[in-house]
Order: sequence, then C-alpha cells, then structure tokens
Amino acid sequence: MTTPTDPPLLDIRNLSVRLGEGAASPALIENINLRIRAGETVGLVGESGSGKTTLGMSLMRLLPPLLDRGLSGQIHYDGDDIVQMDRAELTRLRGGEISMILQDPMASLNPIFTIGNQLKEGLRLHATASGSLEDRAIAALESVRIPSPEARLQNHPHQMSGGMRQRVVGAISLTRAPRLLVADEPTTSLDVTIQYQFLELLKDLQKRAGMAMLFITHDFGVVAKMCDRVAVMYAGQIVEEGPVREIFRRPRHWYTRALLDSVPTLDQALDRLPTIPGSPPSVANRPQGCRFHPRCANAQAKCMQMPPMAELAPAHDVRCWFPLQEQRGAA
Amino acid sequence: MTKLMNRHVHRTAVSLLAGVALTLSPIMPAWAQADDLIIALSTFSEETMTPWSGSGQRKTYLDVVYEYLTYAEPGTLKTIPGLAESWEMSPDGKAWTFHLRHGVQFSGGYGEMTSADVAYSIERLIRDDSRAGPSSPMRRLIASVETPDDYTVVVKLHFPDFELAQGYFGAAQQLGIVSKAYFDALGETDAEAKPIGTGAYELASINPGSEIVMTLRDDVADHWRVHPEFENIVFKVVPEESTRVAMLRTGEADIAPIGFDSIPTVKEAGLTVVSAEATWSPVVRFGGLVETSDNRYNADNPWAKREVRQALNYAVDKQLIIDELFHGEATVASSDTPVPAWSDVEPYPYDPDKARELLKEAGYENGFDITIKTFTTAPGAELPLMAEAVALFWQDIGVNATIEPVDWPSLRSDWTEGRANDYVWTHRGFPFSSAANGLEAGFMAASVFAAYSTPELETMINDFSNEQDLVEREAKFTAIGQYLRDEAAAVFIALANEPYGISDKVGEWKITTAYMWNFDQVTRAK
Amino acid sequence: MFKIVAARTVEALIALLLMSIVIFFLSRLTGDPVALLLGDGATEADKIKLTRDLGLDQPIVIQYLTFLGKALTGDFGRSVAAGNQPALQLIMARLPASLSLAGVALAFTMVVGILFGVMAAVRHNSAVDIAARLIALVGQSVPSFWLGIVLMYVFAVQLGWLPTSGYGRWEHYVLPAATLGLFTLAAITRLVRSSMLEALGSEYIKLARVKGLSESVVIWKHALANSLIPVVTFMGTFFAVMITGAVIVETVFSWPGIGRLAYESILARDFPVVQAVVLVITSLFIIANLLVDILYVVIDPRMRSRG
Repeated sequence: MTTPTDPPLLDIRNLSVRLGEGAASPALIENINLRIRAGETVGLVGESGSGKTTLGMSLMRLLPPLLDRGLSGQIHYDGDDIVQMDRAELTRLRGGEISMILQDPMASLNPIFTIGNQLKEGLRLHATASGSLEDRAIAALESVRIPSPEARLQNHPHQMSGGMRQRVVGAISLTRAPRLLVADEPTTSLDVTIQYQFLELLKDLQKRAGMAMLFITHDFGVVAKMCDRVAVMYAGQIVEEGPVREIFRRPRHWYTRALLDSVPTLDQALDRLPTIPGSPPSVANRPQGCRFHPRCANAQAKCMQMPPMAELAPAHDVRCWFPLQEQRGAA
Repeated sequence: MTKLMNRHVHRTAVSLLAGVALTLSPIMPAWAQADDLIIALSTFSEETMTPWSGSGQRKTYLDVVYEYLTYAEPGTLKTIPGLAESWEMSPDGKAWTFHLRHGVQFSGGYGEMTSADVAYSIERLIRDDSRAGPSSPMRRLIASVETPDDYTVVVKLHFPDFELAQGYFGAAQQLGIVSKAYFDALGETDAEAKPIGTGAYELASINPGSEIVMTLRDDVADHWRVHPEFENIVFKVVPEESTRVAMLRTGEADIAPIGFDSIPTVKEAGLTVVSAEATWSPVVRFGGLVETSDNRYNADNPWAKREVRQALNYAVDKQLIIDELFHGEATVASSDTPVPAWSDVEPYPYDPDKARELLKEAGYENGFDITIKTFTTAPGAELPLMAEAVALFWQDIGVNATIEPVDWPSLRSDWTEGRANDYVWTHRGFPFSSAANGLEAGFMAASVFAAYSTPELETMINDFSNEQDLVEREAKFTAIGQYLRDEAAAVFIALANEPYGISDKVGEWKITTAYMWNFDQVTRAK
Repeated sequence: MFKIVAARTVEALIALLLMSIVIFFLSRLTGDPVALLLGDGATEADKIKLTRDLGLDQPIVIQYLTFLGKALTGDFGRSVAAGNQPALQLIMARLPASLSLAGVALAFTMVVGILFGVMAAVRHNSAVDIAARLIALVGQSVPSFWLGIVLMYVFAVQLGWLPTSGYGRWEHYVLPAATLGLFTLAAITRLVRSSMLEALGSEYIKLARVKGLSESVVIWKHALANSLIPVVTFMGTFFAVMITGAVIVETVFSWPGIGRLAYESILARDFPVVQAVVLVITSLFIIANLLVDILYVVIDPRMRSRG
C-alpha cells in the first residue's frame, strides 16, 4: 500500500493493549497495523470507545500503568521500538520526536502555573534552539497567532478563552518541532468558527515543519479537510484503511458507510453520535466473529467468523466478508 | 468495675508494645540532670512565691526556701524547735511568746532574721487579701503581734488556742518567715516574684508551668537545720501519673508521687516506694446534715436517721476496697480525718445483715434511692472507683445508688452555697492543723465547709476548745471522735497513704506527713 | 487581597465579641472560684467578702460589661487562682511553648504527610502505599493520650533515645510533636494521596508528559502543586486540631502550654484567665484562617480573579 522504497516514520505492528498481561485478557485495541510516513496525515476515525485514544496514547506510552503493562506488539519509530523503550528514552522521545495535542483544552493546561511557565518548561528541553527563552516563548505564541504574546505569557489558563487555550496547547505541543504529532480530537470542545481557524492553523504549521500527523477524530468532515489517508476503527480493531478520497467515494465496510451517511455535509461537523442503530460493544462484551455484525444491515452466518484484513484496491484494506461494491451517491 | 478492667487492658497493651522495642543499656542522657535532685510533682498549684499568695500545695517547693517557727520530728511527730528556739503559752491560752534563734540569715543578703520579720510574716499572712488556706480562722484568732526585742515575739489571741505553736505556726501550715527588709526594699509587687527565706536553698530559675529550680545558697556554710547533699533541687510539674512513673524509670525524676496501681510497676523496675502514711482519708459524705445551720439541713433524707447512716457504714466491706483500690496502702477508718488521737475508736465492721436490720428499724426495709456524686482529686484519683464499689455494696442491702460524676469545683460551690443537701459525695479528709481548728472547720455551722453538725456536737467542741487541762482536753477530743463514729457522721472508708516512687540516686528520704516533705533533707545513695 | 483582609478583620471582631459572651456566661454556669479559694474554717462572712472582692456579687450583665470595657483597653483582669497575676501575662508566658510545639508538629506533618501521600499515590498499591494507608488508619483511630504514653514507653523508657517529657531542648519536641501530629499526618497523607491520584489522571499531567518533562518534574511540580490546594484548605482545621489536641498532649508530656493552662483555669474557675485564654485561642484560629485564605489566593491563581 505504500512505496516499498520509502520506509515509514512510524510502523505499528500487531499492537494490542490488554487489561492485563496475559493474552487472554480483554483487549482495548487488538492487532493494530498502521504506518505513517514522514509529512503524511493519517486520520483515525471511529465512535467513542472504539480505541482511537488508546492507540494514540500508546504511541507515546502515556497509557495508565495498568494498560501500559498490557501493551504488546511493536511500534517502530525511526528504527527503534517504542514498546521496548525505558523511561529515559521515552522522555527523549516525548515532545522532541513525537508530540500530542490533547482533547480537552480546558483541562490540559495546569491551572496553577502561567502560560509562560508551562511553555518555557518545554522550550528549555529544546537544546538546539537559539535565542532567549523569553523570545522563543513569544515566538511560539506568535506562531499560533495569539495576540500580544508578551502579556499573555504572564496569564494563567483561566484568564483565556477556550480557543486561545487550544492554541496555547498547540504551541506547547509543537515547541520542540516534533516529527510526528498525535492530535486527539483537538477541536471537539471548540465552537465551529474557532474549530475551523484552529484546523487551518494546524495545517499551516504542519506544512511549514513538514511533520507527520495522526489525526484522531470521529468527524469525517474534519478528516476530509485534514487527512491524506484514513483508518476507521471499530471495537478495538481497524476495519478499513485507505486514501481519503477513495474511502469517501467508495467505502467498502458497512460501518464506514454508516458513519459517512451520518454526516450530512462534508463541511458541517456533527456532534459525537453517528446515527447507527445499536451501540458499540463494551470491551468485555465483544461479539464473536466480525465485531460489527450485530449492528450490520448485511450480517450473515459467515460473519460469526472473524474476517481478515484484505486489500481490495491499491492501498485500500477492509475487514469484511461481504464488502460493499457500489459507489456512494453524492451527498 | 469496668473502668478497673479498662485500665488493666490499657496497661497490658502498653507493656506489650514497650516490650517489642529493644532494651538498650541506659547511659545517662543529656536531659536527665544527673547531679540534681529532680522531683516530679502533679501540680505547682498557683506557682506564686509568697506564703500568703496561694494554697499549701506550694509548700512542696517553697519549704526549701521558707522556714517555720516550729517543726515536727519525723516519725514521732513531736514538736521541735525551728526558727523559734523555745516558746511559752500563758495559762489561759491567749498569749504566746516565741524566742527566736540568733544568727539565722536570709538569702540574698537581706540580713539576720529578727522579730520584725516574724511579726511582718504573721501580719501579712492574716491580712484581708491573703489567699493562704488558714488565713481566715487565723485572722479571727490573732489579736496582736508584739516585738519587745529583736528575738522575742509575743502573739496575743482573741480566744484560747492551746496548739498555736504546732498548729498554725508549725511547719505543716503556711506561716513561712519572710524578710521584711526585702519587702521594704522592693515593694510588694516586685518582691512577690522571688522567695527570700532562711532555708538552705534559694530560687535559681522558674519556667512557668514547667520547672522550678532551687539552688543551694553559697552564703551559708553550715545551715542551722539541714545539711543538704544536692546542689540543686529541680521541681517539675508533671500532671500525668504515667509520665511520672516513666520519668522515675528513665532517671528523669528521683522522687514522684505515684498512684496505687503503679506500685507493682515501680517496684518491678527496681525502684523503691516510700509512703507517707495515713495522710488523707477517702470518705463518703452526707449532704444536708448540718443540723445547726438554717440552709444546710434536710430532715427528709433517709440518711437524716442515724440508723440509716450506720447501716450504710456496716454495708461496705472497707478492707476489700483497701485491698483492691489502694493495694493495701491504707487502714480501715473510724473517722473522716487521720487523727492519731482517734486511732482507738473502733471502725464499723463489715456486717450486711446488721445493716439490713438497721434499715428495717429505720423503716427502710425496702431500701431507697440515693445519688453519689464523685470526682477525682490529687490525691484521690481512686474516688470514682470507690464510689462504684460503695454503690455495689449498698445495692446488696437494697439501697439503690446512682453515680453522678461531677467536677470538684462545682461540687464545692454547691456545698458552700447550701445546695448539696439531697445527695452524698465522695471526698477526702486531711489531717487537722490543730485539733480545735479542724473540728471548728469540719463540724460547726459557722464554717462553710461543715459536713455534719448537731447542737450536741457544737457544745462538745466548744467545751473542748476552752478546756485548759491537757489530760482533760485529750479525753474530750477522743470523746468527740467516738461521737462522730457512733453517729456515723459519714461513711468512713480508709486512712490512706500517699505512695512515692524513689530512684536509686536517693539514699534516704523521710516524709514527715502531709505538708511536710523535707526535700531539703534527702541524702544521696552511697 | 486587601478586601479579604478587611472583610476577615470585621468578621474576626464579631467572632471575638460573640465568643466573649459565650465564654463569659458559660464559664459561670457551674460554680465559681469563691468556694475553691476559701480556706479551711472560712465563714459565711469570708465568703461574702471574697465574692465582693472578686466582683462576683454584681449582676452578671454588669460583670460582663465591666469585663468588656476593660478588655477593650487590653486589660483582661487578674488571675483569681494564680496569685493575682495579670491573666494576659500568664497566657503570654505559656504561648511560645504552645505555638512552637504546634509549629513543629505542623511542619513535621506537612513534610512527612506530603511525602507519604505523594509516594503512596505514585506507587499506587505498593508497599509504600499500604504503609501510608496503615499510618493514616492508625493516626485517625488511636486516641492521642494512649499514643503519647506508648511512644513515651517505647522511645524514652525502653530505648532511652528521648526524654519522657519536659520542655527546653530540641529532644523534648520529638514525642509530643509526633503525638500531636499523627492525627493530622494521617489526614494530610490521605488528602494528598487522593488528590495526587486525581491529579495524576488529569489532562495537564498528560500534557506535561507529552512535553517530555521528567517524571520528577511531572510529579513534584505539576501534580503536587494542584494536590496542595485541598491541603491548604484544611490547614485551618489542622491548626484547630493541634490546639485542641494540645490539652491532652501538653498534660501527658508536661508541656507548659496554653492548652494545659486553659484546662487548669477552667478547673479552678479562674474566670479572667479562662476568658482571656479562650479569646487568645479564638484569635489564633482567626489569624490561622486568615493566613490560610491568603495562602489559598497565593497558591491558586483562580482565586485571585475572584477576589
């Protein structure tokens, strides 16, 4: 699906996160395979509870201790396996190589310390940069288009609006020019105009720095705007993966189609719940075989067996015994 | 009796836990003043430094500074000369002449003790604003103090006192002799901060609520009365008894009053126990029995009848209480006060059948309800347990007692206000300073602390007070003791000792009696 | 900040006034010092005279107004029991002992409690955590009287490492401060542990880790700073626990503080001292709470904009 001569920046192989160390323990995510090349943006789509955030957090080994112990498989980053890294290596990796924008801008800034303090903490670790800490902090705020950055450095988080906080979080996450950014639903709690501005900003920053991005969202509208490729997650598995255009035009998995159908227009974002009957199974109650079959309009007897991930078109994989054949009508 | 058990459990738990810790060989640590005599007291009382500014409890530490006109010989309790070498009483008992010792020097360079100092000490002690215990009866007694020369003091009385020298003027009371020159020089307010006396020690330092250090005077080579062996005596206030026992065991205290329960522990730790014998008497007093008073008598109480009071005495197995609560450190009492002259008066034996008989005679064969109020004092931590024991014995003869814990001050207010008329309470009696005044304080309506009186008794006491013949006096005094016993003026329980734990630093220590501790005569162990 | 101080000062004055009324009338409910001061053989005339000398013959409202008038000029009267010494002077002589003990105990509990709480939260369910929870359990359930005596028997009598009791050297602080502090230590440990656990699960801790900060900066700066807010909130309460606990601890360890003075003066019905000591303790509470309020604003920037 990718050019063999171009080694991926991130190569996730057989990654599982279980609620315990044994192979029999229930898995939050299971046998995930995903590659991200330098400069590429991959969208990760799915309903709440599908395992998107768990996957994102496991890339930086930021899972809670219990889940971190249940991590298996490999995450090759630039030749090293993140799963095997010790604490010192992880500290080097985080922020500098891989960074992340967290979901909730209201909560991801420490309420006790000033913006400047929290910004400079990261900057201080960026050994190669030149210029005073103060100047670099101001520059970082400027880069996310925060007005009068000198004054803002003295502010505490509660003195700023949600959109501004999100941009500060962005600035903090990007201070050390990471090569890969995991953006976990970075805009869900923002109102629509601010969302749009922030996405524009993010895209701009990405282009300038040439960094790769894993963009986690439940919103296909955002995917269309931001991503090159997209992976759809359901109940801890990737069920379909392919180029964004291809998937929009011709989704092959019934779940992907249902998701797409629940988005009225491409540019209009919808709140969380897509309109599919039923709800995703909990970690402990996942059905046998295809995990989507209890909710699938086309479920058949064979669906009681787990379908493999199969390449149906170039760089377009799907996990379904009876993939959709027809093209999706224009929305 | 659950409290007894709780205490036992508590103690066991403490020793178990203590046993877990390693026992290291004790090296004298820096905080145990190795060379000093350390005395841990339960209270400093008012912590004031003049004889007239507080209670007799302060004598524990003040008596190594202030001295008295007469002393009592340890053991025999015979009156022996003090700052007065000799004294005479006029035949009518209304004039006393004291001849003072020559050459006794006050500390701080305030010169020789003379009759002027004694006169000042007396007059100041009986002044209106004096807070000394016996100041009120002394004020009524003393008419004038004259000083015909430097070494003679003549005290004239309003009425006879045949025991003035060993009574109010003796070492068991509060007439410590102060330096008039010192008070003249500093003025009263400033002078009260530091005691200046003729004793072998003077005040070195005071740490309020914590420590008083007395140090040997360097201006007396050979003190006229005592030959102290300790350079410093450190008095510490340690209200908690368990802490005092711990201090004895670690060498942080050399002498400390302990509870009866701690006697075995202290002995097991290899320390000595010395008891001041029969210094106080636990007792159950009846309310509303001052027949000669208009507001402190209640004829409706069952115990207004003598038979009932006697029954309540017969019902209690006092020896059992002594064995269990006082660890044998007491004797069965026939009075509410330790008075040697009454030692021949027979106590009530334990006889519950007789008690029931007497109740029936009084018309209470079905018993009655009674309230016992109780509180703790020092000494007297055992009083609430004693109340429980007494209640159990009374139950046995059909008297149903309810125990009501109170605190001593509120009960004392009730008592002096005439509100303590329909219940009984645990209490303790102390030795009389003088027989006449003790009787007057305890058994005559004029005293606000009278607990029992009848017209007959008041006559007997007056008679005794005016008797000049010594043999007759003794007989009348004994008769009063017998009367109180026969009338069952209280439920007499015991004459109890006061046990002290003594460290191995101490050689010999003779406590004379209550209020005469002789801490300046403690010797070092060889 | 100024507004807070001003508002609290007004509140404090009202609290002191109310407290003075309560203590004045309450202390007079059960007896008076006259009966205690009268010596053996005192007569009715002595009693009346003493009552008059102490001003206790006046109607109680007049007594109160007299007291209030003098108190406003700083005169709390003279001790009835302790040889006529000025009540305030008696208290001031004892105050340093109490404050230094409470200070040492509070510092000890803060340092150790925070350390335990943080370690217990970071090593959740480990041996350290279990030990910390055990300390918390013991500290909050064992009565301080019993604890004090056990500590004394183990460390003074059996081991001989420390003095049993007394006041003056640094060694004297160890056992009373430990006894006084254990309850609070337990409370702080629990508080820090639970708020640390909450903080460690928060988004800003994730962000701090995302930034690549070392684990020690994440814990001791980001998580701890937030976990201290509830501790600061309870500081006033902890101080109150220390002062009330002082009565027992000061008795067991012969500490010459105001806790014991308060207790003894209540027993002696020494009204002027009771009144003064209660007002001094009330003032201490008020000052402590004011300091907590100020500290709260200093530590939590969100409070600043609310004023």
